[in-house]
Amino acid sequence: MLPDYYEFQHSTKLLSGKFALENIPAELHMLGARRPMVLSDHVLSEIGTLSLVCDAVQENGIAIGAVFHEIPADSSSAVVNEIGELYRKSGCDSLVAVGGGSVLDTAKGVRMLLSQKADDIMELLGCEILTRGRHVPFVAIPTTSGTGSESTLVAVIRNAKNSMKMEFISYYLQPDVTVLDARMTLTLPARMTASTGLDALCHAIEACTCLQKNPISHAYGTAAIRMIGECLERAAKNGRDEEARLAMANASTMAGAAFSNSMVGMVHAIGHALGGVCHVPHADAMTILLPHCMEYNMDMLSDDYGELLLYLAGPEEYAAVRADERGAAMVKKVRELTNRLHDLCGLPLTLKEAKVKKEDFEAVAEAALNDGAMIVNPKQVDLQDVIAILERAYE
Amino acid sequence: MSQLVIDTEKVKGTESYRVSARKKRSLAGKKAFSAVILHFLFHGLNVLNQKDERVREELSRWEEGFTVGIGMGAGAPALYMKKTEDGLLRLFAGQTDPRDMDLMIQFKSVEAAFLVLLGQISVAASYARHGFVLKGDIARAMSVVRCMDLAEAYLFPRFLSKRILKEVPEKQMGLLHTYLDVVGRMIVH
Repeated sequence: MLPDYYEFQHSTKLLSGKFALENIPAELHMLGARRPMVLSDHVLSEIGTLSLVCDAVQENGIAIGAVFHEIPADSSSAVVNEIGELYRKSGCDSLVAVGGGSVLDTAKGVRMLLSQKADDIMELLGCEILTRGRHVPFVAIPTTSGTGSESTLVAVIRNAKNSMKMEFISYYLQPDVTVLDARMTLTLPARMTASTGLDALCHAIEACTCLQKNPISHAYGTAAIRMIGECLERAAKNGRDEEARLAMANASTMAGAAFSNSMVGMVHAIGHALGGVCHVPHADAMTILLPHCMEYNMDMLSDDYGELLLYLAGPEEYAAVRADERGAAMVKKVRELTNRLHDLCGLPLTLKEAKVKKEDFEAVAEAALNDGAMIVNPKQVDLQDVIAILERAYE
Repeated sequence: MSQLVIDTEKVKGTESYRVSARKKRSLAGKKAFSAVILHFLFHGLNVLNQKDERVREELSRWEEGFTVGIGMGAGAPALYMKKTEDGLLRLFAGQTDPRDMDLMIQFKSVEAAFLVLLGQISVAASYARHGFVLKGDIARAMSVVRCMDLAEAYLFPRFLSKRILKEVPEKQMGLLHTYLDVVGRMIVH
């Protein structure tokens, strides 16, 4: 069924597959850029991933103007402002970001700062308030397959003044070009592969079931679920499986495009709060919370979850389950997947394993209710509901 | 073969499309209705701040001087409020710049605002339909949304609030009592 109104935008050009990195200079050229600034983190610099990209970029008259490879895992407004200043001083004309969610979100922040000619990124807080501004060509190269940041219109950046994570939502945050090259994720450890893959699954499931869902985001979301169902375990078991790696990169990007246009709900709201209050890594929080939150929403979303079983389990298994039992079967399928990944690489399945303290539950619940993602959850959630979910997820 | 005749007018020396009289009448009606509802909403929030502990708790978390606005574009009604020791103070729209608000909910059109103010859809549904843009901290906006949901539950009849809200919150006073209190406050202020 069509919603009575919806909007959808996925304006990023996608380069996916063999030697995709080597096409970046041509893309920069077409975007009118000659002197990109490359952004990344320390680890990617150490293991050689960054140099692989830099080597590929410096072709056809493209000269890297500056490299900043000290973006921390939990980037902040201060880092964004610092990079913005370096960009201006170095005479760069475009951005190439190589990394996971933190690097890509930081790059989005830098681009916002530059295009809006602002001095502090915190001046630009809000949802859909930005106008186009000056165009700063931006190429995103994800090195994990989960955040989907390369295709979203959202950036989460910590406010350096109070350490609160702030959300920026704008259609002008999507990169011009996203590069999916299996070489970027071949060295990702199994545990990270598994947890980020489950983050992508969570994006896709919430995108297909939250209030802002629409037929286009549904198409992206269900395609992502199918690929995750087929390739996540393969990629976690054998990191050198290039086909599975590329499929997971595509699934992550599609799930990102899906949730970017239909947003995520309570799993993310509580997950963000667990990250802020108890410092649980985002993907681990998603892994732990997803089945519990699906059960909470079941009375409203049973049919929607039931439909997703087709994509996660395949047609044979879907057809073998009665229609009114498919929603519960979908949750069971998610649990089985997380359990197998737990056995394979030690993913935490409970909040206790993630070192969350019960005395923090109230603070987590309060923060979750103030998270923007909560507004699109189809079922009303109050403080006691969140605490009850946390209790169930504890052990 | 029919031909569309476009009526034009001079705006700043340039020929411009003239908005049809029908559209002008429709917009004027919606703006007038919206102005009344925003006025009612402002007084309603102040009454609920005294009568409903959930609204009181939400407002108590807004710091003194915190400003929040609800608008729907230039030349249309808007509600600008400031948190004070005594509750919410309405700021004079003619002397307030929406850009100065700590939090500004700006509906993209009069029609988008009208749907919410008429009780056709909730604030959450309006967000899902991209009905408004938001300037400021999204986390702070969630508190405003909860207050507006509670106000809608009180100010709209149950059949309407049941249709638009995810869950109708328990009311701590009846519809008639709420209306009498709000109207009483409007007369006094």
